[in-house]
Amino acid sequence: MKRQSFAQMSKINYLGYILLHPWDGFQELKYNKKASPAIATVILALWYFFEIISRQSTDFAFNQFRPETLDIFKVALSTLLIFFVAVLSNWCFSTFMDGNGSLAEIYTVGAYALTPMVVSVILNVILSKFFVLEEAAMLNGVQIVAGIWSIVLILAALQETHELNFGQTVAMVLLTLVGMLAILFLVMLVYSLFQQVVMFVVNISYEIMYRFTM
Amino acid sequence: MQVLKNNLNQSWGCNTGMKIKTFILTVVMAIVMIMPMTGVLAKEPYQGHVYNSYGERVAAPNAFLPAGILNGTMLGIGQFYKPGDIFVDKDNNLYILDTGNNRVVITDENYNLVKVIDKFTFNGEDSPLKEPSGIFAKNGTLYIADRLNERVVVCDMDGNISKEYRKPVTDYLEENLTFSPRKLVVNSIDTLYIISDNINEGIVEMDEDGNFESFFGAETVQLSAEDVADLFWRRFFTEEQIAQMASMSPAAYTNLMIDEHDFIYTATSLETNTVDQLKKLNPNGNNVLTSASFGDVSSEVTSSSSNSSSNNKDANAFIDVTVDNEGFIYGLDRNSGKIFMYNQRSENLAIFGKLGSEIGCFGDVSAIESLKDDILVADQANDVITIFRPTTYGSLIKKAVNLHETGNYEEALQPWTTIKGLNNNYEMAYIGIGRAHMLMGEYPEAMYNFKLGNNKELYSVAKKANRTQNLREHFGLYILTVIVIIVLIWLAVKYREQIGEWLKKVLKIKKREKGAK
Repeated sequence: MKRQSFAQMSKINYLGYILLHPWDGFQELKYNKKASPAIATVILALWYFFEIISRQSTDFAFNQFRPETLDIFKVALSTLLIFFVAVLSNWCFSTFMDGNGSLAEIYTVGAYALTPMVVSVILNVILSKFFVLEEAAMLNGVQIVAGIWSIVLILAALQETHELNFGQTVAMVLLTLVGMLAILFLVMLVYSLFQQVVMFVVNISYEIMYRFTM
Repeated sequence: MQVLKNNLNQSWGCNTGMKIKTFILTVVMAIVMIMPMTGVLAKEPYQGHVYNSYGERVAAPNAFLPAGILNGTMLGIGQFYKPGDIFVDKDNNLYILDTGNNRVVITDENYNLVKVIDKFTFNGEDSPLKEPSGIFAKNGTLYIADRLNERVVVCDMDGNISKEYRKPVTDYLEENLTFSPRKLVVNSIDTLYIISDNINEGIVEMDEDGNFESFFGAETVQLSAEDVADLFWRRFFTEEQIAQMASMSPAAYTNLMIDEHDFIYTATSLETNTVDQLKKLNPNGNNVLTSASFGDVSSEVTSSSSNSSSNNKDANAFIDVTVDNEGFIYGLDRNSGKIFMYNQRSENLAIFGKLGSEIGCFGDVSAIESLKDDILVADQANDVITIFRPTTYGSLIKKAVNLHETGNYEEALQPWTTIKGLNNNYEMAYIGIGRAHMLMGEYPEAMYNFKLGNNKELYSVAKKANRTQNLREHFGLYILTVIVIIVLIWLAVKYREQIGEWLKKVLKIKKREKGAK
């Protein structure tokens, strides 16, 4: 009965089902081709906004950040950029590991898996208004539960999307982390090289300008 | 004369053009005369600053300003030469140890000369001082650390030496070690505490008869990662190599001062470690001051780990410390020429002073003392004593902190509010105001002020009180909300299938609409 209803389930209902039944959910998601990049994008956008709200309006007692120094580009770097690099890195390594996920699939299931964490970010903001420092354990508890939940979802998502066994999945996660470091290193390298090239061109143009204006 | 007056009258009366000119001239003259006066009043030799709790330097009004200087010429006794120490006794007499001239100059509390002692006799013979560097006075008796003569002398106001202390005989001190006492204090039962060059085990504690008692307040060695590496390499080195290495000895005290309860305040010029440079030692030699990092915030100080002399120019080197009669602690930093003012909880209240050549700035500071409200700083490069006096802002801080620390938060509200008006960046003012509101039961205001004072703990306490108060006042409302939520959840669980059906209907309708389009 359930098996048949999967086909009729709407895309958003899949998300709800996945949260409580990660392995089954992601398997059916792939099998029925109900992964929705649009929903994934919404989740990521919400994550970004919630992170900004969190830095801006978490209660003073719990806010680790200074709201007056908020920089939304830096927030994007520490949330969205990391996510995209992770997706990219995972996609690269999926070839190594004989994974079957496409880039769009990885992106989608990755964002799906972040849902509990995204919710916990905004939940933390709301709860922080009611709690005081002595009760910080409550807030941390919520964070930890959400974090573990998301990690389990990520493992399930990768395992089912790439059609691997659990050991391979763990290996893939580790490889992905290494890959992320490599990508970030290359980005830094290219950035600084480009800076040099740009400076070189600028200097040359100045020289030429001086040559002809003197 | 009469003619001249008439002429003048005529010219005043007749020539209106002349009148205007005179008027303009008068105005210009008045401006020119007033200008230098305002210039002098507005000119402060430096801009005060404090550090906020993020370690950022923020501007602040000056808490102390130089009120004047004191030098030998002003006292009519010839220039000072490298004054090495100053001391203020209980009757507010100022003792200036004029190191370069080997004499002691005594003034009263209004800085009028009382006496110059430049002749010292011991057992009827001349016994001049040789570069003395520390002075202490008690009940008309002077204790002088006579450094190059390797002794501490006790004399009366006429320079008659009654006693001299040599290097104490003890197994703890090597025999060939020269005793060169630099600074000293004497407590109420005549025990001497002496800081000596090349004795870094601690402060030498000596009884009245010159018997060694102990090393007081021995500094602990701070073992850093570098030291551990050194220990490792030492295993492979020859003895000569080890001798070349810097020994791992504790940083020595640079100066000390004793208060009326026999607590000893010490300054340490620790350039690699920026914690506990100032200490307050109880009679057991334990530090009772809140452990803190004194001086400039370490992030601002250039790192001073390996390249020794050139890099750590900016690290603080506390050369002296003093405590005024209200318990405020002033640490004098030789490297930056700044004076850091602290309360008894090691909280930085104000920073003032600067290196430079203007009046009120320093060349090379050697000692600091407080005389009533004044702070005196001896400068051994410019050979002057600079007198600092608290500004209105400085006095307000003293008043507010005193009231705050004795728990009179409500009385402290008024001065704190004024301070806040003068210095918006002063976090302690917000905390003081918040404390007062807290005591008056105005918790939201307390929360607001603690937040501005950037104190999460106090904010949280105020928030809890506020929450409890709200719960008490609106208990019914909260209970009602909770009941409504529980009922809603219960209903949702009970009728989940119906709700599901209804949701499906809504969705289907939407789908149909889509299909119709």
